Amino acid sequence: MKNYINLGRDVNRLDGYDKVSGNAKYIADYEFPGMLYAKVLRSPHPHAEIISINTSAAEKMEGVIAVTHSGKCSHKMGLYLVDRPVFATGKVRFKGEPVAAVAALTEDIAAAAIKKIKVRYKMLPLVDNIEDALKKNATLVHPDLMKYSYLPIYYPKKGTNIFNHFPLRKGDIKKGFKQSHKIYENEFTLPQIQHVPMEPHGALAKWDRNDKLTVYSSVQSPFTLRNLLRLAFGLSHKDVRVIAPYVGGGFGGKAGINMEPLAVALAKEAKGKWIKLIFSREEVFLGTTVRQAMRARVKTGISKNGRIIAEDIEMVFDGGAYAEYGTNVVRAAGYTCIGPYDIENVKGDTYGVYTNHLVGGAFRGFGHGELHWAVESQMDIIANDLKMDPAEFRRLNVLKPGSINSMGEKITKHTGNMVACIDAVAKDLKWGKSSKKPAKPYIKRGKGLAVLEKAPAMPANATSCARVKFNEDATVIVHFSGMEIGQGCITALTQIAAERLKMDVSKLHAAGLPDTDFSPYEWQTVASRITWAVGNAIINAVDDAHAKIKKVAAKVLKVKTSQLDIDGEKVFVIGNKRKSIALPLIIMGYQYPDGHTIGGPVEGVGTFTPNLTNLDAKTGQGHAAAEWTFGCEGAEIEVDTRTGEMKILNLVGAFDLGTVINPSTARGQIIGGMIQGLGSAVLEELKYKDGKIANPSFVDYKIPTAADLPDKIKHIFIQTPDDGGPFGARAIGEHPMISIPPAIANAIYDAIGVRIKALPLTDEKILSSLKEKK
Amino acid sequence: MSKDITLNVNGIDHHVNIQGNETLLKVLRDKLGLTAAKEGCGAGECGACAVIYNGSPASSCLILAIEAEGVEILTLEGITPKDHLHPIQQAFIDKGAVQCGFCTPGMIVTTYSLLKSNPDPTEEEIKKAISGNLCRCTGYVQIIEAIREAARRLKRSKGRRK
Amino acid sequence: MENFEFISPITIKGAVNQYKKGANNYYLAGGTDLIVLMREGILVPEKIIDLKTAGLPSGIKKLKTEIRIGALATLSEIEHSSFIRKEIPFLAEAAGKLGSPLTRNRATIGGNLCNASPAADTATPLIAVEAKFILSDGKKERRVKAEEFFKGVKQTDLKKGELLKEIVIPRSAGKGIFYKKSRIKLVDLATVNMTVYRAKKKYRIVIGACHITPLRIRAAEEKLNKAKKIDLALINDAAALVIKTIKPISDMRGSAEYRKQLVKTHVTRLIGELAGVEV
Ligand SMILES: Cc1cc2nc3c(=O)[nH]c(=O)nc-3n(C[C@H](O)[C@H](O)[C@H](O)COP(=O)(O)OP(=O)(O)OC[C@H]3O[C@@H](n4cnc5c(N)ncnc54)[C@H](O)[C@@H]3O)c2cc1C
Ligand code: FES
Ligand code: FES
Repeated sequence: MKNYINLGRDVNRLDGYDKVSGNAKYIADYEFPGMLYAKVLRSPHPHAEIISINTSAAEKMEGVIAVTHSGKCSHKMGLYLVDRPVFATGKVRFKGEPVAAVAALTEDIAAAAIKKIKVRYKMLPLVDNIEDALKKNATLVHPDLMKYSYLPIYYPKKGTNIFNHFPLRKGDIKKGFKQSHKIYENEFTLPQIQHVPMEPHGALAKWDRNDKLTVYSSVQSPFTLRNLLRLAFGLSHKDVRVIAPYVGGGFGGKAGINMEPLAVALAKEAKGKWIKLIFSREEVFLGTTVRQAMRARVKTGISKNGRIIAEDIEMVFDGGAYAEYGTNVVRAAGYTCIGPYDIENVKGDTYGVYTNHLVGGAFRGFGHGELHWAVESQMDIIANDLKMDPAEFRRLNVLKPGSINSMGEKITKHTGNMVACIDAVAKDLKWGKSSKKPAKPYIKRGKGLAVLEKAPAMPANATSCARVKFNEDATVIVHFSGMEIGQGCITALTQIAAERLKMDVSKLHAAGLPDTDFSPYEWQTVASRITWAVGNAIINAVDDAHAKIKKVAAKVLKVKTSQLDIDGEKVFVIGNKRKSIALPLIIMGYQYPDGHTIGGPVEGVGTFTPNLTNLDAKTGQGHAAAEWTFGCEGAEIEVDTRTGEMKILNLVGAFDLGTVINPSTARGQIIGGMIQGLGSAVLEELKYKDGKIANPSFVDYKIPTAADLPDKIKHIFIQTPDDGGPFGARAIGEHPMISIPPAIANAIYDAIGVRIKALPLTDEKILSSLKEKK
Repeated sequence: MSKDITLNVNGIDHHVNIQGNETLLKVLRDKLGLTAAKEGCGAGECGACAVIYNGSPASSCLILAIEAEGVEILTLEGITPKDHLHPIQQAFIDKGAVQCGFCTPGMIVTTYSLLKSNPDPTEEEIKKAISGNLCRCTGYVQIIEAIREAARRLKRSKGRRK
Repeated sequence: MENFEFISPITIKGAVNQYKKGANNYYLAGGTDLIVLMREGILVPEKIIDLKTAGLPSGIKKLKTEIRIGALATLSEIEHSSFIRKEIPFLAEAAGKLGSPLTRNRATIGGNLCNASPAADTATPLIAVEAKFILSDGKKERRVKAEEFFKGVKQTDLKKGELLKEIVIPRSAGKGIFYKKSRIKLVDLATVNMTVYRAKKKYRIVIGACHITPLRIRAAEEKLNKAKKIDLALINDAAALVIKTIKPISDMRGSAEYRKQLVKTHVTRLIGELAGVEV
């Protein structure tokens, strides 16, 4: 590793003070004089025609200022596929869908008014799962699908519930299977799960009488929100201002556009008044987005020497009632469908289908947790059947420098080192040695591992901008619009700026939270891309500022700009450090002894655009991955065969995240992601009864507490610098969550010889699988 | 019903008019401007709203403000010293125990109470003590480390004072 | 949550009188059940009558032949009481497994019992020690056996206006073990819970969350109590009787089948531990 002054060390979080002192403001903490409070009426039915809505009793109530519904606000929204109405229009498509909203002087009045709205429904047939959605003559959740607007990189199917089909073709699949020595076919499923950010969603909106709209929101994507709001409500970008306070956890659930339009629709009805809409926890479950459910069928052909030579994978995502953002989950899972493997012949078909379930959307991992669940379970089944060591089987088959991945991209030594990740995990698990024998005969132990890869899933035009602004004393303020959602981007990005400026990080201040009127543009804080993409923009911004300083210095020192360098304190002539100008004397303009001044305040602007292409419509080949992060995760577990009770003895994850900017926050991302992965592996599931969500609260949707930590948990950094990343860094935010479920399922198999193909891996399911085996 | 009551929060008596159905959390946040305590669930399940109530931590979302008359209440604002941070707060920063920060006020309140009654908790005791404070970001490991570090620091500073 | 009238009576009698004034009045103890239900709009009380000011006994009293626990004693008090931990450790254990520390600092044992959930964590240990509950209607007091207090899901033997005042536990040198299985380690309702108790070579077996009330399984007890020597076969027979008796339902926390298997394994284990038989 290079000698960095600000990188690779645990700079304390710059937002730490705000957050430990209670000083940090989140959306619900904002109050403005004269504010109105909003409540939403939600559909009690999963699929029903709306016959009539009568709001007159609600409107007459004292203290009710505005009531709205699809009759007044018929706008649709969507990042990729514009299919989601602000209020259910014509029919409701899931239980919990917003039907109407009220703004009143107090929350109590709004809540009471909601109850006075009368809606008459006529039931429609329920599309309750993937099978219902796909069957012949299926009830269509969106009969008007083809009339919706969508980006041309998605492929909805006319007359079906399929809102996107992503095909991938590589090599000759028929030939591949023909040459295969053995062929394996399996089906894997997983249910919908919730992000569960600890902060419920919320938004504040004010629509002024001159049609300027201001919105505060707990949002991962202030600029994309602005763009989608102005599209939905027919405004100009300049007239919409989005201000983003600290976000109390996002995990994808606050990406794109969410519940903000509900507040905006009310604001439009009560012009000049602030509307405050804060979701309850139940509404977070019902009314935001979830990770889509999925069913995968994987068919894999193996050569005599254990190489995978053909794979046919079909994945169907249950996108819920609206596809919207989720359309791209299908695409991202589709182009990565085989995981980090070098396979010559591939056929992938990834579908997203509408059902009457909660709306699927972006979720940490973005399709990759889902696909790796299938692929990494399948690999383990194959390795075990071939009597090959599962780690060795993966070492043999994973991507290495020179390999061609599913999309046809060539892997180089800069892409990352998958084998090193496997080796690190194997070492920590003492792979190959059997677990210590438990004291009781009915306790069985086992080990498992699973690899993973992910690239940021984003369109080719997902751009970033950053600014660095010098102050009079040569301290620096950094501006960017990567959202601080807990991942530590304010700190990491300031470290990157400091490093490029050759200053200690203490000389910098991050302007932090974005306001679209003042902050530089940023596409979205998603896809683990912020440190990587904005980091690059910041480097460019620093270089721009430095170029401006050098231009003035060259005049003063009468040298060429190419002869100059800057070290954080001064600009100087290379080879003659005494010929220099201290930065404070130049960053506001240089003043000659006679008072004449040249130059001016120095502010650098930098942008970054990933180098990507669209993918071929028929084969999915092209270049959609700006960079890859490889990783491997492992688990050692024990099972009580009497009751199915599982105990996690050890969880370990190794990730090639390139240059580590801040070890402490990187560790936080990894451990936090692994524990969220643990939740998705053993606990979490949104359950339906008659198409209605049955567990929209923490009473029955459990997430891990501190008491549920494994006995041991460990993170391992592999650091192969990324040639396109800022100082060689690459993405790490989502990855740690991805392969925990298959690692644990594989460990269960190792322990008790039972293969569970449907998440979550509950004690009860382990027990019933054991019984079936007998 | 509505009623004028006196709430003793962070050592100060506040005279407020409240509705019977307002929770302590709501009154702290909306009427007293003490917004460190957060609403994460409103149902006693997440701990984001924890305050020290009559000497022990409790979910302020499940306490009616009207019940709280005459009870000593301490919030994160009251734990934070006037011109620096409490050693627990500093340990949370130093150990990387904070991510999105939404659970942090509740975590620190719970920790404060834990270390008062048990200055040298074991790892198991820490886990049990914070089991009612959900955190979705950190995976708890660095929070547990911060609590241990805070315990060490508090012991050291106590030793010095003696 | 809808608004209501809040009343702070200063005597039990005052509390009962207030309660009787309407059909939709509720007593408030720790509020950890009641406020949740009010928030969800499941209960919309006219009056909330705060028991905390009504002069109910609180705290834990050690008498010569009995232990008395005030209905307002919090689960934390019970969990940490050095006396309870010594004399009825399995009750302390059960209290310490209910909810989170934040819950336990508010939740009362009276509330846990009067709420009468089949999964109530303090119910099985109290039935196992043959506790009696002192109920008061402001004028008269009566005692009911813990086992007879629970009448159904959320239903108790309390008459309109009557309240639970105190819990009386006979002192004995018996030994008991409490076990609770939930989806996550702590802070979760029980999938099943149970207490097995042994005093003077007699066993008591109480299973929770497997019936409309916590259930004492007398047939299984008798099997053990009648035997001269307890061995593994006998324990298995007793466990089989337990399984035969319980009628668990399938719900969000687990299927009936799963509950039965949990009960079978753990009731066997607990009996074995008390009997000193390796299982
Ligand atoms: C996060 C959380 C976790 C929980 N986990 C568990 C758990 O693991 N196990 C478990 O068993 N429970 C659990 N509960 C439920 C609840 O906390 C307990 O049942 C608790 O003991 C109730 O006590 P309370 O004093 O808060 O009751 P309250 O809510 O005040 O009252 C409950 C009911 O009993 C009535 N009542 C209370 N006291 C009396 C009295 N003395 N006489 C007559 N009627 C009375 C009230 O009118 C009300 O109907 C949990 C609750 C929460 C919020
Ligand atoms: S908000 Fe009170 S416990 Fe969640
Ligand atoms: S830091 Fe985000 S919930 Fe704990």
